[in-house]
Amino acid sequence: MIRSILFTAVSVSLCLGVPTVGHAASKEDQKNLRGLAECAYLVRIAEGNGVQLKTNSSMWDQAKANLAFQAQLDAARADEEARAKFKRRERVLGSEKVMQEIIRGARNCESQI
Amino acid sequence: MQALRRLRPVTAAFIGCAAFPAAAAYNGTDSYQDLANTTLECATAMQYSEDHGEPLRFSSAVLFDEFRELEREHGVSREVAATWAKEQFDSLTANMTQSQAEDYIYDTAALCEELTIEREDRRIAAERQQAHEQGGEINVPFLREHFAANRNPRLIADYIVDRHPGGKGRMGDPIPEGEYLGELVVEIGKLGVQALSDAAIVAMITDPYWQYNPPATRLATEEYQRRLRVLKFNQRDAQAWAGRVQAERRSEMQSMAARSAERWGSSVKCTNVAPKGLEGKSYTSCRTLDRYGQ
Repeated sequence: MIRSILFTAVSVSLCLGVPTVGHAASKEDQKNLRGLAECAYLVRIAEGNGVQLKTNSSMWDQAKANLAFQAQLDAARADEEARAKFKRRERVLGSEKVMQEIIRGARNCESQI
Repeated sequence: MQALRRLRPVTAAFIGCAAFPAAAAYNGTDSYQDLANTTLECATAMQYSEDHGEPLRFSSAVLFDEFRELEREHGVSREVAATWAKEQFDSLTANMTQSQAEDYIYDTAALCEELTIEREDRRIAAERQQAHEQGGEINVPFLREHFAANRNPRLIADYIVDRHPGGKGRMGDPIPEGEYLGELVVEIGKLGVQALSDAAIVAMITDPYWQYNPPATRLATEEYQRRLRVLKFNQRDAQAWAGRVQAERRSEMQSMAARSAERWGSSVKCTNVAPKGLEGKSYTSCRTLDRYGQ
């Protein structure tokens, strides 16, 4: 019947023709987002403890939000993961060691850009 | 057939044939009356389809609005269009059953929908083409296209804010880019706004960019307040880390001192001392307590 053919055509064109919003979230994006969230966390703890850095944590936060918007990922979740990671390390290694690690990590993040 | 006509006399009367007149009219070669005829026919078919549970990709109100615009601007006749559509329908469904006629209406609606979307696509493509041909002039269609292609709201907001430093002015006329900035802010929503630069957020707070766009204003204000909160939160977070580090150092030192004191009945108390003038630095000092715990 004409109508069913027509509707099939319409639905096919719906699938193909509608531009996808942003690009689909890939593994690479996931990894980058996690890295950015981690750097944002490191930089903000380091800069709050008097470490002189050239970037501030708001820049990292904004870069993270931008990537999350483009790839349609959950930035809050990446944040939580970064926080949980260092909390876990703190419990295992002690605050002082992890603090030194954080400061080293923040410098490392900065050198990467 | 008579039952259908009695039930929805207006609708049924307008529905006519489909493909060729509609397609031809959309090419823009026919007169405005012809265009109005097919627009009315399509709008009515779509409305019928909507009312009878065949969902469409856009509302029939779009086509009705188009018809009204034609009426207003080019003075086409509503009666002529209605009569034409009725004749079309009557001649084409003269020997059909009711369900056949209904299917016919649904077909017409689907076809109209498809043709209208195609036409809009063509119009947008032409607009983009024009934006490119104008020698790289950056206007609102270009910005729209850029956003659709790259999804980078930060870039666009920065551009608009830099291009118009004071916004539209307190009592100024609306500027298209400012209005688009408001639209963009609403489109990207709460999470997208977090990606905008501090400068753009502050500019949107201090200067008026859009004429009247409460959701956009609210989003910008909320984002500004959120950033202030985040600043405070980050400070407290960092201080909490420092506090935990100090506590750990103190307790370690205390246990070390207690081990080295090795005296029955005495204990050691360690405190962190923060000397004046040294921000963020402290040292730990320990002392042995006497038997009164002093």
